[in-house]
Amino acid sequence: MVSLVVAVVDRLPIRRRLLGFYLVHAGIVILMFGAILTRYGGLDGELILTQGQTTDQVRFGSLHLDIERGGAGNESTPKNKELVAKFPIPDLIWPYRNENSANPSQEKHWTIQTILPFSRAVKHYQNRENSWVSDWILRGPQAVEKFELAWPGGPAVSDQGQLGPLKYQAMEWSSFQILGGSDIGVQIESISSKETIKLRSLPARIKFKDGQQGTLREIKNEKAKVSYFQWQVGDMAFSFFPRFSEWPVTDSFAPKTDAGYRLWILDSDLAGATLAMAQDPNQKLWLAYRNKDGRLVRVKASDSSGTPITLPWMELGLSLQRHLVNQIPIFDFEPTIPEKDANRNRIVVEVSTSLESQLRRIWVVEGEETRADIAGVAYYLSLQKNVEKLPVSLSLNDFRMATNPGTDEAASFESTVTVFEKGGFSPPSRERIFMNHPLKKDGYTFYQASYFPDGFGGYGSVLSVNRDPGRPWKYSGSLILVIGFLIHYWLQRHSWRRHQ
Amino acid sequence: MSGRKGQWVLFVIFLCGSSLGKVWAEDTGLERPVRIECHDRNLGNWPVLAEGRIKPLKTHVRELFQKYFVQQCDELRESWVESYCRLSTGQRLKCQILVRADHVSVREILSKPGERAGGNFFASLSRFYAPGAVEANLFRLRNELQTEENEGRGSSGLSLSLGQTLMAYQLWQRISQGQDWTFLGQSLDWRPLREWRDEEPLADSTGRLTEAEQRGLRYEILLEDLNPLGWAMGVGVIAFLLALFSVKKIKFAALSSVAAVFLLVIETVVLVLRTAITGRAPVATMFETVFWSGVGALAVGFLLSKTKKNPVVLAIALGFNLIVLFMMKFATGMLDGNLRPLVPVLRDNFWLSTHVTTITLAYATLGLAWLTANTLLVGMTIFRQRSSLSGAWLREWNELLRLMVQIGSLLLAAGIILGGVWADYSWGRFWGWDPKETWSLIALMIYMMVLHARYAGWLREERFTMSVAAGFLSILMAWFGVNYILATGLHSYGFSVGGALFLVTVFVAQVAVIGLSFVRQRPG
Repeated sequence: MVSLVVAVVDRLPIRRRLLGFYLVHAGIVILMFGAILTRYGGLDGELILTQGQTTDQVRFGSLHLDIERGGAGNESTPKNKELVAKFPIPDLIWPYRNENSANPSQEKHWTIQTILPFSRAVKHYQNRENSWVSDWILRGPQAVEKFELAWPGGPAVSDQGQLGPLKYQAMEWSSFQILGGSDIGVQIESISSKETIKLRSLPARIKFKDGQQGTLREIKNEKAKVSYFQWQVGDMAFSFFPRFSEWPVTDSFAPKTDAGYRLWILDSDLAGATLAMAQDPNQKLWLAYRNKDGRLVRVKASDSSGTPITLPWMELGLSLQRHLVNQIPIFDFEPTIPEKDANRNRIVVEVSTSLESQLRRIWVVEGEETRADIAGVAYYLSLQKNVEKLPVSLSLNDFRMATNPGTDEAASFESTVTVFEKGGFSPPSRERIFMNHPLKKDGYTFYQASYFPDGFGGYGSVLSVNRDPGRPWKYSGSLILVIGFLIHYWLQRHSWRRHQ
Repeated sequence: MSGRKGQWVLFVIFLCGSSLGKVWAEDTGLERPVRIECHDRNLGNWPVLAEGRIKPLKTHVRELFQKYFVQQCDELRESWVESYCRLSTGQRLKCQILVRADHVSVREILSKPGERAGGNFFASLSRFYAPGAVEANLFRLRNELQTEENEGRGSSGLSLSLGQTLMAYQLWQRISQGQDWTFLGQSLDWRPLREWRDEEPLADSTGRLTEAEQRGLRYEILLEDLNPLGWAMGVGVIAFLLALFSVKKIKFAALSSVAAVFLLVIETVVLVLRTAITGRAPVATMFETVFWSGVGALAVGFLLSKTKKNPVVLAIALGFNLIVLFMMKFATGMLDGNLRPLVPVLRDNFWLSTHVTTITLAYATLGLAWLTANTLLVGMTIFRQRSSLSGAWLREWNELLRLMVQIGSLLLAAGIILGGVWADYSWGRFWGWDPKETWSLIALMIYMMVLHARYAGWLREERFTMSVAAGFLSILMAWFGVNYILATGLHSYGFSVGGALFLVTVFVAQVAVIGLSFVRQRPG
């Protein structure tokens, strides 16, 4: 390659008429050089800002896998999560399999098995005792909807859902049987012993299989018209507000999702437009709802032989399409070609661990934290974007969006930010960044890329951050290229006039 | 003809008798009778707020009718604006408005259960359907569309047609409920007819608009009234025929030049008006770039034909322009001429004016070269006994072809670079291997290879002509293929239906032409 280039250069004559030719090719070379500089010396990421927030962190598209350990069962709080392993996820090209990649962490029990940049979730049905899956079709004058329901619910299919004002939930046969009764049922689950105990009357002393025992009582506050449940085990007390969350709540009323217990009310109410489904010991599916006059109706859905069950609301008819017994759906991922579908473009990583006697494979999806309970310890796996710190911090003061009149389409959007330079030599400055008007500071350029609703009715701003050392080379190379073209044509003009 | 019309009328009356009269009264929902004189000639000039901008009522009505409805008139006639007005205000229509239903299954869904669409051959061929029994039909369409989507056929032809008919029905309902026609109130707020208060009269609210808005409205009314594109089509056909004749009979040359200049003037008027209405360069949508390429090709071809004293080049340029005009008129699924507000990133006038105009001018020049190359190939295949003359004649034409390709590739290179600079300025990356960028680079590389090969002597005259003809396929891929076949990436602003078929047709035709020339070459 080098000898070819040198040979060409050596043989090239230096002629005035070839000036255009030289300029064009020199321009190309300079352009390419600039592109190489950008590739290896440049930086391109995004800065996500919400109102009033200051940040100096740039997020890139590349990811790394974090594996954190959360301690045994019910003792840990989120603060106790410790990082156990961290793997960079390389940019792979086809065929994407990454068997036994380099393991740059101290934990030797984890291996990245596969990295799929583009994947499709495939639902498999796995055998499991005491579980069932059902597919239903709801037909009405304005809609036709399908939904799937499984018991127990899992990541692939839930055990409850909502379609507009209609709620539906799957439950155990014993809970289904007490529906319509006047008893309040309560169900408490211990995660460590994987056990659920149902109670009809409180207070009650409960003992779990793994030896934990305690007292569950209902506490009613007549003045505040509030009642909640208190579970006292050993010297710990948990407060449950089951209509708010099945997890116990902290003092600041936030659900403690790492506590070892969950509590539900077995609603014998079935208030409003609610459906309950359960499977009887003969493996037939039943449906329950309250009629217009308040009576509880139980219908065997498995025997309706195709005719839909008429529901008392909105002229809806419900029919059971499929019922699988002793199976639960799980997701498996397989590689696909890239397609214009947001769900397919999330990176999915398969991790295997040798911590248990049997090799366990876990799928981790970009944007979701996966929890795996291995040998009594909770591990949290997540794919996080790589970040880097900038020499400047930005704070979003205001985000404005103008819409086309009468529509919701964005006409233009802009961010007003305050820039703090680290090192403290210059005072913070206030700048406006909008489409086609970027901010340049310290060699970095900030562009208004996009926006997102911040959940509080306002908008957050996404800025694209960029450092491009190759820029002057690319621009000058381009200019020389175009000038070379023009000079070449100018010098050549006589050949155009030859045949008149 | 009258027999067919008679059957169609029977069919319509049959539907009329069933449910339409009732439907109109039920569905208007206006509590008070609304006093608007629908036959007022000036009604079309009233401003309305629709699709994010202020436009004259006649433009809004035309856009809706062209896309979703058709008028069926018997003895009495009324304009589209009159129909819209009467439908909105609950007055009796003189003509019937039918709703578009392209797919035969959609028409079957719309007929009464147990009854075939129309009941006669001609009615089942028609692509429009009277919106009788609106509620029932809306439910049936929604139901069918939901079933298609649930079973994974969401992008089939039936689903698309269902979606379009559903939109037409919903629009019809909107209009008849007075929700579509908007008026500007005294407090400078836009409200639909349905929410109008009695105290304020319903009248032309142009006076309440700002100066800039009034100006834009006036220009748009002018554009609608003049209908310059209609004139352009007529003048274009005449000019093209004159140019063809002028190849044989030189006396037509002056006339064809005059006609060509006249055509250019008309098209410039369109460009100027569109710029005045929107306040930006007229090259932002697929429709506009195609139009600009036609204008550019005509201008470049005209200049070339004058400097080289070659009337055939003018005929070819007029031919290109005519193709463009036909596409604009008939390929409305692919090209949408409606003026719309742009996405934010396109709202930079400087870059829009420079990058897009340059690239489209490059496409135009290379398109001119493409048509010239094809004319040569077809000419040589047909007039094969004259191939003995082709020596000097072919060389001369090749020089012209080479000139066109050189200018075109210079403009292409400059346009690509300007695009990179714009992207760098807007998003911070000069080159992102976007499909549009990548394909335009591929096209540039192909033309560079052709020019280099010609220079090095690897391609003789005939092969060079064939390469130029084939090279344009990569330009078509970059121009249309990215939007209509790939439809991805940052450049997908102009996505629409029908483009894939167009591209495949052109591709197949081009390969056929080149194949025929190849075959012709071998015995010679």
